[in-house]
Amino acid sequence: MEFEKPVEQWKGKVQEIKLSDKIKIGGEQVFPNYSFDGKCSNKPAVAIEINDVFPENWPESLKEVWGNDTLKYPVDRAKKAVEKYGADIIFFDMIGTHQDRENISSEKAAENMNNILKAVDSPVIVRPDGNFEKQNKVFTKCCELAERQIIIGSAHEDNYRTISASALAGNHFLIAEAPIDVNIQKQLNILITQMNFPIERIIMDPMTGGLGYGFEYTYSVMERIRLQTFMDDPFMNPPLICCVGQETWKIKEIKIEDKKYGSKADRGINWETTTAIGLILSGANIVVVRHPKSVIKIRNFIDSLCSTSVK
Amino acid sequence: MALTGLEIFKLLPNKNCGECDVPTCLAFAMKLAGKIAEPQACPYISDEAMEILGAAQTPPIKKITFKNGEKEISIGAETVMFRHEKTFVNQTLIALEIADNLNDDEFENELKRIESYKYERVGELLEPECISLKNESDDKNNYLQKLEIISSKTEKIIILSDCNPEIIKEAIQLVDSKRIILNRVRNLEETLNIISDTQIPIVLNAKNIEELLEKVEKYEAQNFKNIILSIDFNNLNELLGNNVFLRRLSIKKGFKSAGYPILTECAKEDELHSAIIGICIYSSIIILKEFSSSSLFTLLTFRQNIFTDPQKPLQIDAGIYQVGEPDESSPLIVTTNFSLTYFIVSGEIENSISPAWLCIVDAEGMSVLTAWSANKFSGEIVGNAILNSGIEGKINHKKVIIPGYVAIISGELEDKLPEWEILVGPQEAAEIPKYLKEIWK
Repeated sequence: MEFEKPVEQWKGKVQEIKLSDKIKIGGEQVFPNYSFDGKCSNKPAVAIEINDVFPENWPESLKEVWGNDTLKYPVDRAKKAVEKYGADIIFFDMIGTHQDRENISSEKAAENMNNILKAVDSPVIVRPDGNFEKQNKVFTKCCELAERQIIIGSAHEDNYRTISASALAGNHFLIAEAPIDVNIQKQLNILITQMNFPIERIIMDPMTGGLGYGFEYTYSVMERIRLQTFMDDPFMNPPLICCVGQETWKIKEIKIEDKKYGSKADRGINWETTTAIGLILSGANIVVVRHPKSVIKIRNFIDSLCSTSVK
Repeated sequence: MALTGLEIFKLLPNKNCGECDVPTCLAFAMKLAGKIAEPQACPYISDEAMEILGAAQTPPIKKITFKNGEKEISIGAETVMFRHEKTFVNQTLIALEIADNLNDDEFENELKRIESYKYERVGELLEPECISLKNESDDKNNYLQKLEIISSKTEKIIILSDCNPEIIKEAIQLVDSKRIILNRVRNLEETLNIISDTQIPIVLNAKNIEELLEKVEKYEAQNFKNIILSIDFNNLNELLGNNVFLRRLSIKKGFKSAGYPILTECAKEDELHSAIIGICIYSSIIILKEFSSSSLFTLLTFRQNIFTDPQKPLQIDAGIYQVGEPDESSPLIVTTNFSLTYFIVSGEIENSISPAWLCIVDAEGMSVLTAWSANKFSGEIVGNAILNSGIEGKINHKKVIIPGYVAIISGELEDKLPEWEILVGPQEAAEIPKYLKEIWK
């Protein structure tokens, strides 16, 4: 029967970012993986989260996969994540810099970071923890001392100046994080660019609601952000990153001891994979996860989704 | 096609009588346009206007309703491409497949297993609604016997899959026609003759959109209305593309033959993946062939999230809640009435082993930060909520713990509650146990 395929073409385009020789993200001119509409460009990247200190609050099943010996040493973790588990990107979450935890100094944090940068070739996202004062100290040191280009996070509406200036001076990429809100996200992007930071080096973190814990808000906010991108809003075209692992492995549903819900280990992997896939469907360019099996499942999904077009 | 508020206004009597509970006809027209009122609410509306409005209000995707025990379940009736535009109306039904060639014991066990998949989450019962009974044996009596077992032992909707007309003829005598769907029928023409006097929904299967729409037009012409669409796919991109094109054709292009619910048979190798696409991207029914309780639980939660109405966040009633058995010296913690906020905060208080009073403020179902930025969780509002909650008679102290993310409201709250001590709690609920241990001795 005769009918015209209802293809949709847009003017705007997600900014393409080259994070390393091998890894590029963004560049799409269509809704996530709608290759039947137009150019999809780069596949979503999968990042694995590692920490500067031992992650005590991880569930046992997750610790077991990585091995306690590996988990104690950030460099070993980074190598394993890239070489064994196939991470495109390392997400170095420095929880140990928090003033109420190990309170690792900014100098030591920068040293830890450089050890990771030396150990792997992959792009590295660096994110300190703590109050704004502490974070700012670490931002500054890391941006100054990084031995190669890093992605530093996260700039907030209430705390974007120091980090933006440091990232600008060090020629790094910057993550701009807004609380699941299209307007605040745009406002933040504008504020950062007003400090002469190029929009081409921003990655947006819309904040991830875990599955069952506000997931649908992130899902819809990302679709709304992308609608603005495609309508050619110059402040809304950076790629999107979603931190899935940390919103998955802490929730009640994967800790329940009840056979009815299946094995705990499987539940965690399913939960993490499902959340990541849902967010890839609504526009994520980078998903950050913890479990190696999730990485495999997410990658299979991406490969099948990014295969050929409709008949 | 949807009418604008002004177009609707011209159809109304312009009496401004207020009997529809809206003060003016213009305001009522705006509500109709926003689909938050029904034209029947106007006692003076003309038949002609009613007809126009009725046609404009018929959703572009056909609604089909089934019987599920005492309840009714519908699919279709969708009106938007993105859930944030309004909402997705009827959630994707999940069907589990079972083959008829299992022996009696295996079959009963499998059925028991399927029936046991029931989970409660955020006050809702989550379960797969359908069973797809696949004809593997090609033995009519065997198939009908298995069908009878399902129909008597469960209340689920039954998808009759891969059946020939002889089986269908007898099957529809055995089961209420409001709880069956025919899928992959082996002889379509003959089957349509058999069901022509019924309203039984039938799935039209095709290899691509062109072939599918041809079939639909042909059977629409024979007056079949309860049609369900299904297209085979080789990879996830085809599934996504087919579903997107069908939804666009019906919603954006007014293409009637594409305006029916879609059924997706999930691919065995990456079942969870196709199921997730089906739920997000427009499938009204998905059939799972292999399933574990952990993947089902995840999928059901995922579906619950996607089909939450964005216009009505899940919320709980404002007021004072007891977590554990608090006494007059227990801490008072305040947060918003977004149900997930409540579940997380009360869960963490339980973890802390320290009982507490939880004051839930009506913040229109928003989470703490969102509510604060929308000015629904200001010092003024929180202060009033505490004063009106009656908590003062229940505790012997005047201390209240507010969420760390809204430390900024503590000044305004002190003005509102001058005799109170305002304590700023942690930003993340996960820190509550540690916080209470240190602060509340």
